[in-house]
Amino acid sequence: MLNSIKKIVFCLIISFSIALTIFFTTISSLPDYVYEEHEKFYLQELPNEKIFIFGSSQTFAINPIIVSDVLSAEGHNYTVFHLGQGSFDAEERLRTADLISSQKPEIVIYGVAYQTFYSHGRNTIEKPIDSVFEFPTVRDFLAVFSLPINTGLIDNPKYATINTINHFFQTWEGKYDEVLPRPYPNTPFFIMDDNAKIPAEQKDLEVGGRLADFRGMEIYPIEKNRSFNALKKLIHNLHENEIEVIIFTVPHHKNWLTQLPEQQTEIFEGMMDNLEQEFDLKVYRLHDKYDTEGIWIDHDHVIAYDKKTNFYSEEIATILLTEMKEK
Amino acid sequence: MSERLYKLIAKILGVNVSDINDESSPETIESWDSFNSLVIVDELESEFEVSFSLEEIIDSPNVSAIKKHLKNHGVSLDD
Amino acid sequence: MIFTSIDFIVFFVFILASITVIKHRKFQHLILLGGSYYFFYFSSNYLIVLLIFSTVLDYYLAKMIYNSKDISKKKILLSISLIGNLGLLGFFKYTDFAILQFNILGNYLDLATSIPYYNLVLPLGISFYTFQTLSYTIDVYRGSLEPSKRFSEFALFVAFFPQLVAGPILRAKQFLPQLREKIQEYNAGGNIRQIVFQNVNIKFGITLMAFGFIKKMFFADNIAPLVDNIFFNPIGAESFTIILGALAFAVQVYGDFSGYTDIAIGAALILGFKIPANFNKPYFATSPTAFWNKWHISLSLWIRDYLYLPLVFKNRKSSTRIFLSLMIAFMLIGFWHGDGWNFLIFGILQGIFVGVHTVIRKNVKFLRNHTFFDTKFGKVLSIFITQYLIFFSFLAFRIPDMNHLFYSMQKYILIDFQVTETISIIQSHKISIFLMVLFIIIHFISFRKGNLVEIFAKLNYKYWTLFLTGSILAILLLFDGNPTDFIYFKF
Repeated sequence: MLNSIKKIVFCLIISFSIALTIFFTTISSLPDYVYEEHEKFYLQELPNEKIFIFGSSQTFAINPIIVSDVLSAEGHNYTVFHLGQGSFDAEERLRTADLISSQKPEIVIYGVAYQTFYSHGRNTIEKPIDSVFEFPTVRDFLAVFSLPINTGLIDNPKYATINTINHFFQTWEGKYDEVLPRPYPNTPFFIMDDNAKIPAEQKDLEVGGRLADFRGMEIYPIEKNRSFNALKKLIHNLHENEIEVIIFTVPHHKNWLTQLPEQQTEIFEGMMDNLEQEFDLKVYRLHDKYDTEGIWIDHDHVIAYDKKTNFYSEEIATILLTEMKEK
Repeated sequence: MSERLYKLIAKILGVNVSDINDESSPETIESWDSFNSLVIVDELESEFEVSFSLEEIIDSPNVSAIKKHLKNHGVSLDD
Repeated sequence: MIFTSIDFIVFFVFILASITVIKHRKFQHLILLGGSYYFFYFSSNYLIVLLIFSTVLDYYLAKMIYNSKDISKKKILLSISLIGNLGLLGFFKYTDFAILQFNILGNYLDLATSIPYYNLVLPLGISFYTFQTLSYTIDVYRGSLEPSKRFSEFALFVAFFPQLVAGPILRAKQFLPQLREKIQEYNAGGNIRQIVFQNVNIKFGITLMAFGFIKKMFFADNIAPLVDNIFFNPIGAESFTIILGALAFAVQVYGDFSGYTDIAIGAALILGFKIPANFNKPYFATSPTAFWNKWHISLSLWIRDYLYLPLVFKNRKSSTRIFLSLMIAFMLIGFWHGDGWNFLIFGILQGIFVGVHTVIRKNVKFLRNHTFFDTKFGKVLSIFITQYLIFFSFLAFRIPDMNHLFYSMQKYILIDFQVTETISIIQSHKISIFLMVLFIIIHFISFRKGNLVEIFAKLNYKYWTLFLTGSILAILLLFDGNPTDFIYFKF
């Protein structure tokens, strides 16, 4: 009996060792396709005075040419690059931090939405338990040691695996090297999308309508929020490279904002306050600033390629001008 | 009594008599669900003219337990 | 602590190591008890006092019930146990729900009577261990069980960490003797509920745990995004989308719950305890009644023995009484699952299905034994109809919002035959769909070929290692770093 227990333990050790070895080897040798795409851009020769705009799809409607035109009208000559990318949140952006810094932009301006901090895949609000005495978890323990590989992938292997599978299918379908149309100049990561011109029906945006109702994904409290912590790490990194960082919250539809649970509003506001305090920067709150109708695709996306939303690009330019004056 | 018992249970559960033995239970016979358990109780009560208590019904994990309860009610084991 | 985390693996290995090193039986049980309390404390902190309170309460009440000769005194003591345990369960689980309904009613009647919520946190596994201690006191009251002579023994029965969080709900009669070192032998067979493998307990236990982890982490967690996406806002969705969602949810909840149970039973087996299975291929049940013999078996047996049979015992010939008792039993099962009207609806639906089926079977004798149901076609048809109904009731289980629920139910029954949205959802959730189909295929193979766990556990060591390696690798490659809460965890 003891013999068989020894054999079993031995088998377990072997299987864990082999599996972990294969896993780490695979993950670390998987091309980080997203990183590669960004690398292609950042390794180019870019003009010296530049401003980078970051964010995900909520920033799609910003036209960097309008921004740079407004700036140059006030005597500031910068090349403005809109480096936003759909579904790209702070964790993904953090992985390209070194690439960003290598280009030494003067200013990085980052647009965040409620969605930026959504808890991945969970849709229950966790009620944090007040602990009398918290035992350390293994994860805390592992956090002390950094691994000599792309830890972004280790943290979320599923993302890496899915990306690889997607890439495989794309190559197979011959789509990978296609040159894709971009919505504006200097916007290398967004893809032109005609649907972005079409606003949603007004009734869907009314209170209780399909798009104005909050449901599903929710934001985790600050201490447990992966995206928020990634954003902070990114800002740290950029500050260390003497790059100025400006944060703004993207426009959200007022009907959606009004029926958010209080807890969610509190957490989001708390996050913005936290950023202002910790990094001594100003967060420009655009999320509740605009209540024009007829410009919304859904609660946090406005239409693009339309004069009606030029205000968005102009607002970004105004923010930049304000910050420049204060220097 | 054993043969009578096995035959009765087999008929209710829709299986062959040869499939029933002392170890038979809801775990080993697919069709022995809670509904059929109560049918078995009913039929046993009329066949052997006894009246089971709640505890006895609950405590019937297999055929051999049923036999024990029947014996307690004075039903003889010999055919 | 949730099973699917590194913390649990480390904890479990530590417990095993401690038990191996400390050979004295008495101390081994104390290690298990201490470990179980740590396990509970890890997730619920100071709420551990509730667990200890229930344990102390029922230990001494059961002793007093056993020693008392006076039947009315026994009744009073039992009532104290019932009120104490159910009271706590009710308070923690349903207070906020009750307050919500009270406020809604107050609003409706234009009274300024709004009460603020308590925002109570649910202690880990309270729905499970409460039922477990109650079964103990009731069994002692009924005279079918002698109470435990040692507190540590009873305490371990209540807090035993493998089944503390999400069952199976144990009976003292099955567990205490094992704790007292009597292990019974059963024959391993096709549809067995009790898993017994004498000399290969550990290998079987590990295999079972591996299966559990795969079902939960590899399948259920990766099908969840598809389900969440469909039911996020189902208003406007096509019928086929809703049906796809119901099917995906059925796979998800089964993978989740039966996976968790597998881990629990496997862990217990490695520790030397045999716990009855909680699932037995429920999606191949040929009737709603049969379904509840195969789904969450420990809960349905508990309800049968402590609620349904007492209700129906006095007058079990009466179809009305049977139907009403079933309705009450299932409404309770529904509500046990959560504080929401949708759970009550789930219970009511199940009550209707099982009730109608039972009453028909009782009164229409010719249907009961008709050979049609023994034919292959008859069986397949029964399975399809049963599962159609079961998945329909799962909509109530999954969708808390009433408007969403009624819309979904409507679309499920009155099919609109549109396909565009469904196809687009399938295309944007390729991995979830693939895993769903894969799971169904494997499940079907398991149904036909017999218990896959047994087959894998019996492999020789070379292939067994290969199986373990493959499982670990599969889980790691699709691991999302943010362990999703297991659905029944909230209970």
